[in-house]
Amino acid sequence: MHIPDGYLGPKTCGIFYLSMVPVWYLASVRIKKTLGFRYLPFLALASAFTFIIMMFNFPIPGGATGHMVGGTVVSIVLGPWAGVVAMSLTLSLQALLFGDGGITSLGANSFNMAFLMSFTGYYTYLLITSRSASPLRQTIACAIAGYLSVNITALAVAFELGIQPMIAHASDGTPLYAPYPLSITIPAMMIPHLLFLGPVEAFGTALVVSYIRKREDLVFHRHKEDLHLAPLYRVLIFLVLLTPLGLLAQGVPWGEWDIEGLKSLTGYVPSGMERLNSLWSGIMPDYTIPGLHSDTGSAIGYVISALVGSVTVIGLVYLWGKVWHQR
Amino acid sequence: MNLPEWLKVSVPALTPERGVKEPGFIKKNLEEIASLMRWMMDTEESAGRRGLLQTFDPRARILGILFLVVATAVTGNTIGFVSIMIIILLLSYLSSVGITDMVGRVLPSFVFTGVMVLPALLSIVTPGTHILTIMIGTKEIGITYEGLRTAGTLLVRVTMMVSLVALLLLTTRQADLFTGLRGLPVPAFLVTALFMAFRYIFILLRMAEDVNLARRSRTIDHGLLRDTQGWFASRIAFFVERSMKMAEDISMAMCSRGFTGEIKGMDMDGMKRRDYLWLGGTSFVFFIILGLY
Amino acid sequence: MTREIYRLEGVSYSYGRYPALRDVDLVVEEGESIAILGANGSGKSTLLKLLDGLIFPTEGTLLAFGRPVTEENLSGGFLAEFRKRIGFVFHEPDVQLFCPTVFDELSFGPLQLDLPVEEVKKRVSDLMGMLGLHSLRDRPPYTLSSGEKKKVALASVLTVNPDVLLMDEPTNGLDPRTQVWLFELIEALRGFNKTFIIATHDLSLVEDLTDRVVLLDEAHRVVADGDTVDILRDKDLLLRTNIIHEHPHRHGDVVHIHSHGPYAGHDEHE
Repeated sequence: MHIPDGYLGPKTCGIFYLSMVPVWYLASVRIKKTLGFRYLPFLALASAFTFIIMMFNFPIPGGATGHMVGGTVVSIVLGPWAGVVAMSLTLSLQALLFGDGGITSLGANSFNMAFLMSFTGYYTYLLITSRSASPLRQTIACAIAGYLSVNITALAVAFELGIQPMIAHASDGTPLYAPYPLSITIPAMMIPHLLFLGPVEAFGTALVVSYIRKREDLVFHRHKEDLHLAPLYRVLIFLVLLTPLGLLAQGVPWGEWDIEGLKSLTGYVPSGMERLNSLWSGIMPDYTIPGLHSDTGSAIGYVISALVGSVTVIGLVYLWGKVWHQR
Repeated sequence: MNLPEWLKVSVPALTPERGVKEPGFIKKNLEEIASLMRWMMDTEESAGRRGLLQTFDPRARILGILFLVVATAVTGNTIGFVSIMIIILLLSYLSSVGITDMVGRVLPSFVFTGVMVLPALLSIVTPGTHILTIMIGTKEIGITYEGLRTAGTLLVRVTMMVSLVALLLLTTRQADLFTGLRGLPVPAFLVTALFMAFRYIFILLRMAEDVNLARRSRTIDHGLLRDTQGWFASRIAFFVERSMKMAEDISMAMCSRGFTGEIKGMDMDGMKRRDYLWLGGTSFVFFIILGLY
Repeated sequence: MTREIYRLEGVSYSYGRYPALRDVDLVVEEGESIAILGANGSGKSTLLKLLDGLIFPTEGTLLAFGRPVTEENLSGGFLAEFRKRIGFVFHEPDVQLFCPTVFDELSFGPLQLDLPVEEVKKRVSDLMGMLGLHSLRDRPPYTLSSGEKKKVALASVLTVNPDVLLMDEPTNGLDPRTQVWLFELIEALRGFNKTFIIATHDLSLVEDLTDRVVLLDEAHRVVADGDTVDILRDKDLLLRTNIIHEHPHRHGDVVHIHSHGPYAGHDEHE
């Protein structure tokens, strides 16, 4: 489920980082409010817990093994925002300290496994259990939430990988990142998840949550008795807004927005995207100076601009250090 | 104390082996845990050596490597790949990172990606100029130049990015990594949570190892699938309980020492000239590569 | 006149349905050294957590420095004062040590309490010198031996310079040398009017370092509160509260039963 470094184009990586920043910010504000000053150890523990859950291989029929992701468990127990942060922490640790997953793809991985999984899992659970506390219904809700969320996550991964050949390729069309089109990535991701890993997640989620339910004092996230759909709608709207943004950003080389390709891909193009498109290219200056194959003059000019860039970096780091010290 | 009779009898001799087998997945789990522990030890050992990267401020080291990682992510041509490759080799040499350490960390990704891209070589996935054609029945399948280029690019890129991250890990002690992150614009509470998660992974892993070993010592026959799943379930429940208890205690320990929700840290010493030079160098590489893109 | 540190009146605490402490009355004065003695699960740790303001009585009142300690009350200025004056050394060093290096660990407390950075650095350095931790300065605490961990855990509380030290099973899992070292340290600190409240079932510690014992029974009540020597002499009381036990013992060929209390010698052969 982890997308390693090098599989996603730089734009895809960038946009997922950008879209995760507000999510992370909101999540950190929300958890401080709901979990109080105790939030830190609980997040850390939840994160360590998912890390280990992912290491535990579970036998599935046919002699193979699989593991669960655990995002839905955390979001049902501690709430969806805590789920986002805990899973993001797990993914960061895997990327930074264990070289598992990727640093450039951390934004995308967090979007899939932290954001998407926590929210789809949590709201599926909430919708199914609505106002009913019967243990059977709870268990079924957890299982369905686990199954659904892991499959949606897998679908997102398949989608992100599958559109790479279309949008992140060399000028002659050769894919430079993940090479397989959607027609290959979707079945490759979905068949194992629908058949095996989904049930593993469903089983694991139902089990762990039902255990925690028994220990009433351990559940920190109190689900509201009445189901408020407002937050759900907010999330849905956010997702809808994010989708065209995500599509737009999937790593098209500087200034080469392939609207036609996207049109054929999705069947429609949100009208706002055209506007966003021009806005985006306005912000990003056209950096594509002809490379070394042009005359020496422009090559020198281009080395100089790179030098200016690195001097600016040094200056910024220096200034930032100074400001930091004075605080 | 009155011991029951059966407890007083000891088994006279070893009973002949009867194909005693433990379920494969337990063995696999144990191996995985052990290898992770070993892995972390090796990394600490290597990070303690003297070398070029080790002399930089952890903040600068992380930032500089990030520049190179992003440069690798962005580049799309041979010049870019070759120059970063040379930088990686040079840095490993100057930072006394052993070839075996490096290969050990890069190989798994290399093999995984290598196998994964194989089908992309074929004309059915990547159409184009055939450089080798195989006849299967009446169908003609070939390896295309475009396929080779696609697969090659991905493999080289993934390998180089993994090498860069490995380079950072092999030259940075874990404590420095967290100190470095705290010096960068990452919210302090996230760094603390990250560190705590890292700590608890090891506490929980030790617990997991004990659990798996306990299971191993009691396993006589091939467990039924249902049995093993039930066992797995009870283990997860055990983890939940232990982790929750631990979190409660730790949050109390933090509060007891004055933590009220925001971590207050100490300013770090300023960076030195060599750190700025390193940052300048790596960002220069980044900008050059970005231009070539 | 000595200052009153704690005053507990009818304090009870329960975890959901399970009571952990019942109806505790207790007054602690400055400079006292008190052992909280009780079998496992008698509520010793719960009492310490109450005294450290980490949990709050479900019934009764708890005053610290003359002010009521409640969840609402323990905030802002009072909280900072409270935390500065009271230090808690946890039973499990692994729980208490959560920073990346020994140095960070020692500086965590004073930094959270807004002590000036220079002062923090001085305190940390002094304590590392005193406890011989200088060589461990940049080591991650989880790589230390259990004796070293205990030292770091203690040092991390001492950097705040609390007046009151709460300790939960401080001698548990210590090798003899570290144990001697700990005794010497506590003894030295007692000379400076620090108050110690130590939960333990290590009777040698009680005997050497405390002058008052609060005894909890397995029903989570205080059954005795008095002079250390008096309580340790009361063999029946200690047996009843499961602090000491009788067990068979072998001297050459003679097997006899005697209890293991500090003042119970071999004159009790049966």
